[in-house]
Amino acid sequence: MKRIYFRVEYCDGCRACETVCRERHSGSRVLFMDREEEPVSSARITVERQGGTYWAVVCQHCAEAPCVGACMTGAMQYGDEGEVIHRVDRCVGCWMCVMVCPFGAVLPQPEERKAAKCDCCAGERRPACVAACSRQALWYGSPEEFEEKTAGDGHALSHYR
Amino acid sequence: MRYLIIGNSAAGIFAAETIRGLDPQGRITMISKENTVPYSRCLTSYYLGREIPAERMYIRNTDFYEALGIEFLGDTAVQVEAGERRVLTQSGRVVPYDKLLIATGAAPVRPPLEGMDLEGVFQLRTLEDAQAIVRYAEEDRREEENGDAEQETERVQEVVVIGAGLVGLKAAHGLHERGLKVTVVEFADQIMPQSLDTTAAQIIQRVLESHGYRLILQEKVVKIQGRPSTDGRQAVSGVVLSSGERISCRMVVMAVGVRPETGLVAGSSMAVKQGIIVNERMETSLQDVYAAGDVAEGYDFLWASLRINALWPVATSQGVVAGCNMTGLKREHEGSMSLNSADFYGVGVISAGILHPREEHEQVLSFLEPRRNQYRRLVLREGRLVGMLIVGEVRGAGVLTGLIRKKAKVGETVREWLKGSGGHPAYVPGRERGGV
Repeated sequence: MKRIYFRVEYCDGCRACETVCRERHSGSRVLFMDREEEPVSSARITVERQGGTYWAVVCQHCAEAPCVGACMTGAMQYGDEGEVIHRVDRCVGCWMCVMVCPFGAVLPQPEERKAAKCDCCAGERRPACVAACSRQALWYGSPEEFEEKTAGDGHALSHYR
Repeated sequence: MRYLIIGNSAAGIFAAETIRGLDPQGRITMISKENTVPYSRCLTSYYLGREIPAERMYIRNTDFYEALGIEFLGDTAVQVEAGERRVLTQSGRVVPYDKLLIATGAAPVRPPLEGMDLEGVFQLRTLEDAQAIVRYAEEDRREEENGDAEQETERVQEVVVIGAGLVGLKAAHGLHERGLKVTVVEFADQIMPQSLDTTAAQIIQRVLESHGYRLILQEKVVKIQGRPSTDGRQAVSGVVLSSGERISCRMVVMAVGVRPETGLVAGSSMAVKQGIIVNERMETSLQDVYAAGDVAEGYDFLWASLRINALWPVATSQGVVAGCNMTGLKREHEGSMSLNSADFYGVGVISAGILHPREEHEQVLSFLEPRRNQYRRLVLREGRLVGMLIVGEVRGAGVLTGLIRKKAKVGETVREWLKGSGGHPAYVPGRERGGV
């Protein structure tokens, strides 16, 4: 299964990923119009700063996902490839998934009473955030492809601690 | 291999799916007295409040049993005969098994209160309970519309909920959303005494009161009063409190806790305390019999003892572990902890682990901003997080739950986050890089 990888050494905190994610998940899908929508759409990837370092926080599509086990409405489910999908229509905003995601990657949207998380831009070849990441800190592919790509790379994968 | 699962809620569903994933050929039978596609009990109050339609209660597709090749029996299992490897049901069936999972859940406690048998006294656990409440509330309303003016003054659109735990408050919320006037009576000196501290309880109480709920603390209902109803039976007309106050109401919802459904192993040699005792593989004391969910009393890793945490996520994770072990794949459950999440009118509440320090070496850190309904409380034991409570912005709560699980030392970052910086508890702007 393909997933989004993050390499902390390459990120300079430009937040382009956040911006395009918000755009992609807005109603209009137009960057300069999505702020006019009600409610304003929000990014499902966030860049957190700690000192001089930036970290992208995004759904890891865990193999045995705590959010799927905690979801009392069946909104969080495994997709055909084992990815974690969020069926928003089933979500009631109980925040059980928010309570258990160890990455803090499921985001509460109190106004809509819905949780939100990365869907890897379902149906598209490459997630918008990855396409927008000029420094290639975000990378999309299978674990095997990722290992191949990073083999011999001086920067080993620095995952979440 | 013949697998038998008793119960079709969280633990049962997740166990069945796990078994089917690992053993495509095995024969799976499920027995439940609730003859329905799996639904979520946690959603009953949402249904009550018309926040979701009835069909959204179902958390699996209507072909769930067929799709997984499960033989489903809508029947009540009354006795486990572990020696003979079979289960007897109410309708007289004898169901044999090789591996058995007891996932019967829990049932609401019915206190011995005068007036409990009156028409209009309900509990909220099952879909059927919720439907019964809806029917009664609707009937009551129709009756009122048809009634003449004189009678109408006697008719009160008021409901009393007994118990201000999470179930009681969610029931209250559903009934309030339905347009009923809700009074909640709680014996403790705060609402949600099991999952909140006083400060958090007061914040939520204010939120509920501002929406028109009446909350009565440190009081008991001593009697439910009746009046003759249209069909000749006695129906609820009010409750009397320990203070002597009388509250007139048409409906009473009991929410004073649940008790594990262990009846089907009564009289057997199975080890049962409050619930059925299970080890980390969800095995009971009897060979080839497993238990999971609200009926099981398993290991709580924070209390380091057996404890029932009757919670959806605990039930699902125990169901997965039981399912694995039933097929022969060894899996151990890491232990459970108390975990609760709710949202009242946009104010989120999440609590986990131990909230009240018991020992001297436990330390409490807290942050309160009452005007914004923001409150955070962390309980540390020798520098490690063992409990947390967040009211208001709940984003990132799972990071803290994860820290509790990992028994990680809590560093400056979490302490900084506590002081009200928004966002993510693992990353706080402006700090040097370091451990969380």
